[in-house]
Amino acid sequence: MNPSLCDLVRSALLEGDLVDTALREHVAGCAECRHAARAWPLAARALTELPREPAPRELDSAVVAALHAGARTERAIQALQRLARLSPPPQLSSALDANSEGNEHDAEAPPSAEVERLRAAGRAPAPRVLDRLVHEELLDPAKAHVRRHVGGLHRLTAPEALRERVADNFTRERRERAPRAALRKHAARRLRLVLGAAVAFALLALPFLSRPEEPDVKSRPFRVERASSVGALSPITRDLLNAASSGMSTRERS
Amino acid sequence: MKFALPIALTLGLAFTAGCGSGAQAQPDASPRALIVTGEATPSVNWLQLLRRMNRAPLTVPHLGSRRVEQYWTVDGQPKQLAYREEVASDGTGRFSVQALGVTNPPMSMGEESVFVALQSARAGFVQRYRDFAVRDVDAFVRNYSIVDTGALVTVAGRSCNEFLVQRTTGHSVRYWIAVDRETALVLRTRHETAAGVLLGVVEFETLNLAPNFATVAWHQPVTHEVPLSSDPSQALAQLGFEPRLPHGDSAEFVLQSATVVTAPDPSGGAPRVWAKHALTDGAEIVFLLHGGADPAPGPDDVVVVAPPVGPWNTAEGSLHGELFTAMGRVSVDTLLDLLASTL
Repeated sequence: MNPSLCDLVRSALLEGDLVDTALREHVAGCAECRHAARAWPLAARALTELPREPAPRELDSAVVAALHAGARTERAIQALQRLARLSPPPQLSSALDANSEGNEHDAEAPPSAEVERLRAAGRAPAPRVLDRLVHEELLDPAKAHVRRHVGGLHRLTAPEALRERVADNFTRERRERAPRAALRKHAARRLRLVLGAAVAFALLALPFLSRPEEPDVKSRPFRVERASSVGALSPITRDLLNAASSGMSTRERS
Repeated sequence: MKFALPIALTLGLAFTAGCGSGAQAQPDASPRALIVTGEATPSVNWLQLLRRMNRAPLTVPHLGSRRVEQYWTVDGQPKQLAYREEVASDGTGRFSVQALGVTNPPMSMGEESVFVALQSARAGFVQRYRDFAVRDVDAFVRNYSIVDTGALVTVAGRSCNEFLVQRTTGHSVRYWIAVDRETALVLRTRHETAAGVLLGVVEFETLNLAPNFATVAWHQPVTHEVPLSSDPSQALAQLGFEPRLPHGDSAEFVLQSATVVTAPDPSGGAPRVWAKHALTDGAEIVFLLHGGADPAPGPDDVVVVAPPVGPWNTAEGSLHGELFTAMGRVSVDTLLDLLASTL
């Protein structure tokens, strides 16, 4: 084997074209290059014509996250901080302030220095109770919504007729249960007797009724189990089966 | 009472006369299974023919194209496959088997290219094991009958004798073969079940016995398979464990080849080394693989039998803490018997 010419042949095959006369003459005389010249274009065509599989949707976000890990979080925080805070309407502020004055859960008032700093920046501080209410609402929005509105629902009272009917039914069922219970007890006792007799009969009669089965399976020094498909076989066995069946044993051939 | 003794003697004679004539009689050296129909004296030296058929695929230079058809049941579903291939042999042991294209089922160009590329990788298996062949003359004579149908058929322009080959014991299978009168090459094989259901056909469509091999790319091994030494200590060094073979008085199968194969470990560990033995009953091949210690042996010896793939059956399991696989175009019982006899 001439390494340099064989390498050139391989390179030409990779580029998809074997036009050089000297290389073609070499291929005609070299068994390995002849084999490659036959097999490589087939393999290349097979690979290029394989169906394209779509990339998973998570790939985009995974790539971005991997490229910008850490920095993305910081960028998000900075963006949130740059958001302008809206001022609450004056009526809300005064109503909540009035409510929070008597609230024992209310934390201490923000320091006056902080308040002054915020007012100087043109932003009114939100009252503390608003923070607590917003926090509770964010924890369980559905519960907060229900609690807000359920107290205002109008309560209805049950009609008197319904009360009497429930009482009558209760009394009647108690009267009927008594004889039924006695009947059930009697039937259970009889059933126990019958079952006991059946079990005793089976235990006594089984040795006489059972016959040794005709052995339809040859006796071997191991247990034999049946697999439902060839997929249960080891890789080396599947490879051999694939070769033996010209690929019919795999699912691609249908 | 006076009839008791004659009756007993009669019964005893009948009993002893019936013994020893069953199908399980010990095989003898003479070709008892060869039958020639319709002729008082055979026109063919049968043993010489079988020996020629055994050698012809690798000793007769030839180049030709073949049609291959398979009608198998896989996973309970009937499946068909038909394709054409080009075959060549230079008469010195070099060979080539190249798939040319698929005729059934319809395939896209890409699928066909994949099939052709994969078949190239299977060329060694196809050449050695796929088709009917007389793989061992003595074992063939013990296990098969061959009947000359008397028909002269033409295959690929060549005049051929037609024979019917059937197994005489064990699993039922039959082959209708057309054998070239001059070269003893098997030019056509029709594989059927004992009930006559067609399983496959391999037939030469063209044949050149004086070809120019200039454009032939000879088969290059693609698997890392090396011969397994027959010396026990060297085999142990190659494998890391002592290989096991069926033992006992089994005249049914003989060893044809022994190699070492490396295959991926299903549990994701290092590649596993297997001893691969190819056994033959004269025509069919059974692979017996021994993989050494089972990394996760169970409390019992268990063998799992997979559904058949066409005529091929497989059984694999863990026996005495070691991995075994048996696969062949034989019955499941035969595979299980082989596995049991390795213990």
